[in-house]
Amino acid sequence: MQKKTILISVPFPRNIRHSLSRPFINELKKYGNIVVVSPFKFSNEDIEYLNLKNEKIVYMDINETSFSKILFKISDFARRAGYFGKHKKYGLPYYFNNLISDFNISGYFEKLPSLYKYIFIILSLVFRKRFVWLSLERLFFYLINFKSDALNEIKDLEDVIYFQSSNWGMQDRLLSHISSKKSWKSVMIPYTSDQIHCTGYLLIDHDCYAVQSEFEKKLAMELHNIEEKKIVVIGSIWHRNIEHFIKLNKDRIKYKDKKNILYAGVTSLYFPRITEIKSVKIIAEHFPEYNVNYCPYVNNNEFKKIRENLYSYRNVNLIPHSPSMTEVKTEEAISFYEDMKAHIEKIMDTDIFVMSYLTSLGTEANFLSKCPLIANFIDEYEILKNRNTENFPKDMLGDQLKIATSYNDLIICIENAMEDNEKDLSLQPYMYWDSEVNLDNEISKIMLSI
Amino acid sequence: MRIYFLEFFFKTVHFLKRKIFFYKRNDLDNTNIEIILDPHNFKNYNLKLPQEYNLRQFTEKDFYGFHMLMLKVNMGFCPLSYWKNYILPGGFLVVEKVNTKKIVGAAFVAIYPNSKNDEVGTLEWLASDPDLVGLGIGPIIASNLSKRLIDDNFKKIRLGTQKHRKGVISMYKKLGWRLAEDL
Repeated sequence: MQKKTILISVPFPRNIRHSLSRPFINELKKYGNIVVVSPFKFSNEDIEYLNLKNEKIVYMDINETSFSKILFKISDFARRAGYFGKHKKYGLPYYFNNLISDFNISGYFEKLPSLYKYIFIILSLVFRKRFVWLSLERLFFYLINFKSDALNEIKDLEDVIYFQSSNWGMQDRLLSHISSKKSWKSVMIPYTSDQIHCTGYLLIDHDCYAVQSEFEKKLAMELHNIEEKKIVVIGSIWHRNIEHFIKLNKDRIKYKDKKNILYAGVTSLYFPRITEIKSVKIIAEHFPEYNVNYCPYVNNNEFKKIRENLYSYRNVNLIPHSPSMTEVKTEEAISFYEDMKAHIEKIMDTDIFVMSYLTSLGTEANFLSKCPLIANFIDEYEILKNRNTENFPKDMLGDQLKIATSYNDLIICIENAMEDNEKDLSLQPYMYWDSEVNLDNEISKIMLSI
Repeated sequence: MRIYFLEFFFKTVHFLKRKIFFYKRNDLDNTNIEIILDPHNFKNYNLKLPQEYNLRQFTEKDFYGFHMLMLKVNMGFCPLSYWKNYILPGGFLVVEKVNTKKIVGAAFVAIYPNSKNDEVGTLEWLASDPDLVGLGIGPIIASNLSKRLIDDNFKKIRLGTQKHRKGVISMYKKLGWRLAEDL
């Protein structure tokens, strides 16, 4: 019997850890030949580590012209405007407001001209039904005929099951289009809850939705009207990858010997860097018995600048971010294995996790260390307020997430977190992105059902 | 859209004022000069504003007042739609007359747009109402914004002005700034 072709789309470096998770791939291999489609190249070391030596990797090169970019940008705005305009819960009106904003570091004059606002309102009304947007997207694909050797190779594949992890980006839009034209079977394996929550209408109707948690199942049913029988909770493929990595590399991982607070920064477009650094300084001063491991989300030059700024704080360690864990594109060559090791060492043995705004690093740290999570929403300059952040769905990680809105609040949250160690595991924030099921069994169920 | 229309309006007014009414004086030395601040030399300005004036963060509602001040002080047109991408959070201060809500002083600090890797911080568009000389509006704003630049740990802190603005240059010198040509 001819084996099926399992096509796995890896559109961004950050998807490697999820979609090419070793426990996941190892199980999938039992059901067919793996074909990885990605716009970037993998190093030989990573191919070795990811166990892809005998698998086909197609380097996807989409020749977009300025015209095609404009058309597909319009379609993407229509997709999101229609979706955000349609749903009024789970904080989606906040995302609709953001469509008519263009964030900058100062926070001033971020609202786009009123003309755009009216265009988005009209788009949200016209595209309130998903099929209207799907028709527009198909029309654009009909008008723009993308051609490349890689695409021909993909189109020639037979008996394909397409695994899609992100619900945005040109690669998955194109693959979704090919998938529906060629009547491929398809499975969605969202790499974050956001893929189901706040990226717009789903790009394609999948045969199966392999979600991470019961919460994602609820989102899929309520926001996308997906039938329950098509949804399978498989837990977090990424978390299984972490467990697998730790098992294999027990002796290579550096464990922390001192109590520590991990502070995860975000881009300065979302949270003022000055407030972030001030928060780190205040935490370091208030809790000298703790090491404060600060991971600013910055480039190398800014990293050096922050290092100088925090030089006198002896209990602050600066940790660079790992590009293949977080980036959507990267100019530098990435080393997945090294990045993953550094990433796990960063979040491991964390006693308390503090983040500017919200970042998925919180769920990972909570999964590994069961540490309490504190979100820093201090808004000295009213930048967050002007962006209607009060509507931001801060409860997406459950009610155990603590929100600090002032420096004093931040200290109190940390003090309370230090005292309050007994927690119900089933309510832990990471459970919103994971589930205690056996991944192999669930994959087996999916593969046998489609 | 409003900001772009209003900016176009103020740009036109500045242009007319300069070209038609010949407001630009040619007898002044308009050579551009750079002034540098070494954080170790910074001297804080301790005076406070009189009670009827308030130092606060700029808000978008101050757009009109800010440009009216710029018109009054003949500093030319300040394109905020350009600078918004560089201004540091909390780095745009205005002084307002409490009872009339009139903007009588303003300035902002930003990442210097020409700098590589965002390593240079700059103080820009410091203006104070010429009718209120002696209240310390300029030094108070400049002092606060200098501190804001120092907090950000820039490799270089600078500002640009013209040679003929002797009063302003002397004020900056009192705060610890030095002419780049003297360094």
